[in-house]
Amino acid sequence: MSFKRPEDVATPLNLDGYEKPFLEKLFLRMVRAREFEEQLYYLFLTTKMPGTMHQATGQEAVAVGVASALNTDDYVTSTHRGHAHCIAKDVPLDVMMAEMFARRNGVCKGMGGSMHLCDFSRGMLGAFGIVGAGIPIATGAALTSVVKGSKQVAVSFFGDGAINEGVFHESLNMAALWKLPVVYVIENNQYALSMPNDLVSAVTDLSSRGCGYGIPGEKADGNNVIAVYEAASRAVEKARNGGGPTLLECITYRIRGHARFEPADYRDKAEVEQWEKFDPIKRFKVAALSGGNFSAQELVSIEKKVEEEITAAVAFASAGEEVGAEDYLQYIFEQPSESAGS
Amino acid sequence: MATKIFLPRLGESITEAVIGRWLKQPGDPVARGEVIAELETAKAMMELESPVKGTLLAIFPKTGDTVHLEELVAVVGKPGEDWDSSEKPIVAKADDESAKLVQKKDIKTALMNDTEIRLRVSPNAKRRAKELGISLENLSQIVKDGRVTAQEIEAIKPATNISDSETIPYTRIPLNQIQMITARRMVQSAQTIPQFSVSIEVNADGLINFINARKSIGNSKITLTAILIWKVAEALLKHPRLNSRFDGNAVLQFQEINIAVAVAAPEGLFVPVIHKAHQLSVEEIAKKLEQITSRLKNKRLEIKDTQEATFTISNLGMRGITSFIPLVDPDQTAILGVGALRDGIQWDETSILLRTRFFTLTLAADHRVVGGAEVSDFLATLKQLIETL
Amino acid sequence: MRKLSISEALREAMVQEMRRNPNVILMGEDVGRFNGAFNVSNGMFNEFGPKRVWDTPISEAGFMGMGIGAALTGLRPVIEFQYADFMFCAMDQIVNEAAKLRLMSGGQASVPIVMRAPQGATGRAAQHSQSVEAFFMHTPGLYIALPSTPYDAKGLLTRAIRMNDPVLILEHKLLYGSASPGGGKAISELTISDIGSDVPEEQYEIPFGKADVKRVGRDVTIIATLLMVHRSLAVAADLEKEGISCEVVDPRTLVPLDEDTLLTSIRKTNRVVVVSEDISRGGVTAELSALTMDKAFDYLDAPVVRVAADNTPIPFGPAAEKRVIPQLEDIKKAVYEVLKD
Repeated sequence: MSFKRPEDVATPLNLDGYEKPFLEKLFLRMVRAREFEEQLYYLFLTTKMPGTMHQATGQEAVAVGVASALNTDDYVTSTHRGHAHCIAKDVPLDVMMAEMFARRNGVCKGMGGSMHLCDFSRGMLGAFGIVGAGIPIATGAALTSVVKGSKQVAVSFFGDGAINEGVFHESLNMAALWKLPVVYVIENNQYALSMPNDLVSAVTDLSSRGCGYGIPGEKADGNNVIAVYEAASRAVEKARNGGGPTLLECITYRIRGHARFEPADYRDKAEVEQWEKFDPIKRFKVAALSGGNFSAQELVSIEKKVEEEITAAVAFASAGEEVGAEDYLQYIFEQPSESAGS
Repeated sequence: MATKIFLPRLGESITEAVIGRWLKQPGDPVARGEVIAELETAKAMMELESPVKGTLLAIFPKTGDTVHLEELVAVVGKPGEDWDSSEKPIVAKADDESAKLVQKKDIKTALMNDTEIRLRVSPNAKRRAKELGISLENLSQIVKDGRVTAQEIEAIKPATNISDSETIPYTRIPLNQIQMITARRMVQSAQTIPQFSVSIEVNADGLINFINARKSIGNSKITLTAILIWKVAEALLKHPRLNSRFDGNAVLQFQEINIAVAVAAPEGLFVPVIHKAHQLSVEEIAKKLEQITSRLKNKRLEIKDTQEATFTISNLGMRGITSFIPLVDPDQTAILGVGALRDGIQWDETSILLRTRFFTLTLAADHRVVGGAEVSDFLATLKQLIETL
Repeated sequence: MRKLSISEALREAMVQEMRRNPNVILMGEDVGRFNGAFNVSNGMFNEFGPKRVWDTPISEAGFMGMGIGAALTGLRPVIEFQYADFMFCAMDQIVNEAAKLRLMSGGQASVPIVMRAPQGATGRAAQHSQSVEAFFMHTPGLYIALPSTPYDAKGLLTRAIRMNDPVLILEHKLLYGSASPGGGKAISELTISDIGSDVPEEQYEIPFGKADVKRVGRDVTIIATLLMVHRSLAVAADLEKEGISCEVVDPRTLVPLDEDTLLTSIRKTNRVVVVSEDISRGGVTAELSALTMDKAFDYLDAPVVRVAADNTPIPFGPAAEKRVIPQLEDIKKAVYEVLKD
């Protein structure tokens, strides 16, 4: 049984020593990620939503903690469960929502949908529908940094399922061999769709896999945004200074099912409820109030702000033009195609 | 505003669900996320949650009912709120569509009967037949087996008054190979080249003196044709664009001048070639011409004698023709038609009438390659070369 | 003008472009210190060093993915696969990422990556011999070029590196014309002609979507690629003596395909033979036959005749390989066949 109980994983969350604006940013990003997905969750019942979505509910601290250790021009690759990574990188909510609605004013012009969100102006190289696909791509972005001498860092987010893809191993080997400035973040939410870690991985100490390539492995309490931030900062700093890659395992839990309408019957309700008690946003609020870093009012006003942002995003998306039948012809190649028929 | 709840796509292949049980009834308060019904699908039991906080105003399917994709299932809002009942998504009638059987016509494979031989006409042949106005009905008499191709079609003279010519008695004279090829190339020329022609009168006095002078010193075989070939080659050096061929999106300007001469023989029209005429003296040209004509007479013409022509000369002058417009060879740009020598009158500067000899040259050319100006300049050059012999 | 082999022409294209643009890099197995399994990258490691010429571990999916990541972030990588057969190890990255990213991102992503790989049967059995173009013609979002002469090779590769979309250059082992550092010259092919070996010293591009009529003719159109271009030319020279005039058209790029040139030729000759070294089922010859039927049906005097490899993995025994891969006689027979009626 590889199931990790939250009380065994959790480390104390202390907001002291950090500037208020920075902490606000952390909280804002986590709440945005949460509310964006919650709103969408219900939109799937009341609106004809094309496609589906994969929620990162309960995992927000990993995305936000890591992204907050990065500059805007540092690179990030993500997975099919990529909304939180985008939001953590400050991709605007309105164009993300419009993309979910398959509108022309979506961040990918309605051509990609939930699993392929990206924003190159913010270093967000993309969510990918193929498990593990982003790992070598982030490694390649790190290669560019070395060739150009730019000091940019690349972060690859992936899950406990992706570490069994061949490209994971190929990438880690080359990153270590060439000391590339990349940080590999395993978002271990303990399930790869229906499979818990111990049913698919011979060694369930996931970050220990780095030792096969001489890459130091680290573990962090994935629902503790400060713990994640600190571990990520160290890894990013090391990479930026030519110290090579790190394998950072953030242990968290996927509160919702794998995808919208996937009921996750393979899990005990009790297990889910256990982890819900260690919800990262709840923990932040508790620490903020008990540590005197925020007043209740301040937190509520941030939450209200986010509510308004989301409402505006939905309005923006609903007002957007639906994708035209022939829009795709512009995006196959750099040169727009007149037709794609034979 | 009240919120309507529609049955969403519960899975990629799931298009309907059965209401297992309603957990709430109209009038009950519901919280956001609270489960209001249990749904049974082909894959699993699922829960239907309320997307908003409020009062359950209405539910539609009953326990045990099957609900389809996008069907309205329930409404949540404020107590007593009015909601628009007209906005109902259309229930998918997926099964009815697939139940419609497509009537398939029985297709008899009427391909090959042992006793029946079906005439095969190539698509290209059909197209050419259409263009030429030829009916395909009478083709079996031309082609006994194999496929009718465009070549056969083009060799057929299109019948104009079919009914009339059927009653007039006739003798059928098949074309030989030479004639078939000629026919094909004539059609190709007429069909594909936009031809136009320009004529000029050339004073032949100098030419005739030249021939007579050569005759008197024993070079009796310098013919008019040889001299024309010689001078045309010289003129083409100055006007290379006429020594060429159209090639789709370019003009291929040949680097050799190979002049063909049309010769009528009993078997048909031959066009032997004097290769590299621009490098030969008039004597050499005359000699080659003599050799080729002799080979032709003895039916010993070789393949190389008729290949790689870049320009053609056709002379009907010896048959008394004053002028004519020849057809451009499909692989060339221009052809020169030569008329008969005639008597004429010329004025000189002092208004004295002089007797002179002249003949008419007509140049027909491919208008895709050259225009009036270029052919006119060529003929002017040629005239000058001939008149200053 | 000096004559280059295809191997030298490809090298010159890469070297000149790498000198001109510091963002171009070369990655692949044995391309650096070993100078490349087929010698194409000879001298490049010495000139450009390890930051521009990367010797990779045997990790096709990994380094293809890295190439994509580098392409997304400002570099222009040339990825060399040692054998076209090994591209299959990287299929996910090629098909699902490189080719699809521009569309999925609504135009945000540009993937200016060039993949190069040698293909063709040379007696090394099934896993080192396959002709793979059909897999990639079937991958929307990829451009494909098949250079059959040194002139074409330099022009097409230069253009490819400068394009902002993923491009696959498929090369033929028997056309490289250089000794392989791993072991001697590739098997000599007597029918390889000198055609197109005059290569300008300066840089030049050949646009994609422009076929090349390698021989003008009147009676039959032969459409062929790579090694088959040269075999078709040899057959055409032979048939000329019998009075059969063959036009040999080399598409040079399969995506995009220069339909105009192909169709102009077909409308002129009314008879088509398509020759390719890949298997006939679902391959290049199938696609070109369909195109001919689609757009030149009314100009055909005979059905299209296809000359392609048998639908089989390529066997080791020389007699068997010869039987499977289109030979001179197969092409000649096809011409007779199409002229039959």
